[in-house]
Amino acid sequence: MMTNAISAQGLAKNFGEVKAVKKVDLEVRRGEIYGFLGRNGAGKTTSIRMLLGLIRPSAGEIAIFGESLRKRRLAALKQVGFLVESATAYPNLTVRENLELQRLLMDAPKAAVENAIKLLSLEEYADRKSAHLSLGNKQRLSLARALVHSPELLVLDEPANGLDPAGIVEIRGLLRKLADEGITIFMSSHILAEVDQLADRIGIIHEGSLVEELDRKKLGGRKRLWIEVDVDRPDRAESILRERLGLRELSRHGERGMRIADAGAGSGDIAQALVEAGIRLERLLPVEENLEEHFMRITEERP
Amino acid sequence: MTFLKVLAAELLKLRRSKLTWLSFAFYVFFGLMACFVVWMIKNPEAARGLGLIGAKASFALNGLTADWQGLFTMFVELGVAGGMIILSIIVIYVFGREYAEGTAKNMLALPVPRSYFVVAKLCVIALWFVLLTAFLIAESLLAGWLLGLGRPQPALVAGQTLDILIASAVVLTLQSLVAWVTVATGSYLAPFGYTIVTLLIGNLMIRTDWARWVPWSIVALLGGMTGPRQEDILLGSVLVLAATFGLGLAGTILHQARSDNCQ
Repeated sequence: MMTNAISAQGLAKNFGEVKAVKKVDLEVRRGEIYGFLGRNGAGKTTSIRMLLGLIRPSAGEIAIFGESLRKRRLAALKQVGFLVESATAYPNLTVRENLELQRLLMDAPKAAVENAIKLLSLEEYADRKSAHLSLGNKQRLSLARALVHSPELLVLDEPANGLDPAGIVEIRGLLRKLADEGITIFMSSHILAEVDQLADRIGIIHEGSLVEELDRKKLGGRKRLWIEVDVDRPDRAESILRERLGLRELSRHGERGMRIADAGAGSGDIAQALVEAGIRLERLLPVEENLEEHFMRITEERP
Repeated sequence: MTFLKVLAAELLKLRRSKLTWLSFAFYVFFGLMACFVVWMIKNPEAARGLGLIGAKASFALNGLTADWQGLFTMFVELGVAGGMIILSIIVIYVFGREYAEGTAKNMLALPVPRSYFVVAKLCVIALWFVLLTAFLIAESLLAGWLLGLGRPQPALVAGQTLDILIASAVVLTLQSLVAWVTVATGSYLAPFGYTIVTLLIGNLMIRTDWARWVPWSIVALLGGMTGPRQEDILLGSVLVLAATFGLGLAGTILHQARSDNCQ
């Protein structure tokens, strides 16, 4: 049986009294893009640092490609490329020298530096000191550094940080291409639209606990459907829907609108009930909640 | 092989680093100061004429004389006193920059034994200091020639070279503790404060009978910073210096290996 790229069981981290991560179980399959979402302080970066051996877990075990990070750190991290939080590099060194440094330490072939420069479109800046790079190009350099040794697993914390819209599209294409080549990508991002477009699976961490895992193929089933209606008399419409159809999850939305989250009634039932009550129906639109709305709902529902 | 690559990487990190040139510039300044003092001893009337010293002032600085012996004594003292400060700054920079520049996380998450980074950094620092020491020796010879002190005795040059090398080696042994303070605090300020405090302790304790057991005083004794240079350092003092170095090295390695990096 093929081992998972990342396997974490009962992962926990306490900083004194603060429980930053609480018994997280995580399985990232080979070749998939796993999006790791959470609000600020939810435990994302602490989890990522534990996966890279930068923070020692208070409890739990991590294996990378089947190698225990606690017992065989060097073997476990050999096939990992990473970007943790902010993009950093040695400011006195050029882009090429920063990558050469990484190449030396990862024992990669000499051509790897030029390949990484080309892959991240850094040719123009290759001989520029990293201190003089824009935030976006520093991010590219950090991504190039993560890729120098052609890793099988990429752990990326906010890979789109500092990139302009064109850069985001470019990096998205690169990550998709790498995933198609069989590289596993574990990424966190605040740009939920990015994760929505890229990830095969999404994990949502909230207050240190992994509260939900969504499979892209099954995502539709987990996301909520809303029906939005605009009517001429919203007060009357609300009471009709509550009394006749027994709907409970109704919320007012602007002056004439309502949002109906109950799965118990379809668009036809709602339209019929309103028309029969003499209410003028101006708009009726079934809406699927996007990842952002889903994320907000999941994290707001859990105090 | 891996360690050599880590060593090569640590050397590469210093490319275009301003501190490398600044450290040599400091040593040029030290040399000029030594030259200036020896010139004043050699030409007291000219110095008085320029208002550099008072009419009644005399040079009784540890019995300094305007000859090769006096010049070499000054350079050994500079090698110890200046070396302790400059070397601490170098150690703080080499270890502390990883935290100041946010690269520690990149370094510590690599599949490389963390002890390799510590030892490689100390090797780079030692190499740097060896070059500075060689520069200081060459500078002392150039200074003597410029001051017109004549041809030095080869035995005297060999003796002074050995003195500077021993003093530099002793100064180096204290630096692993500076490295430990730097990685433990992840800052520039705390280890610099530590350096100042240890210099003060060294200078206070040197006047007591415990001086030969206090690492920072042993260095001062060897350098002759507060009196005639002590040649007969006890074996116990050597062991104290070795233990100090060992403690700092072990502390730095253990800290890098076991502590959380939340940078």
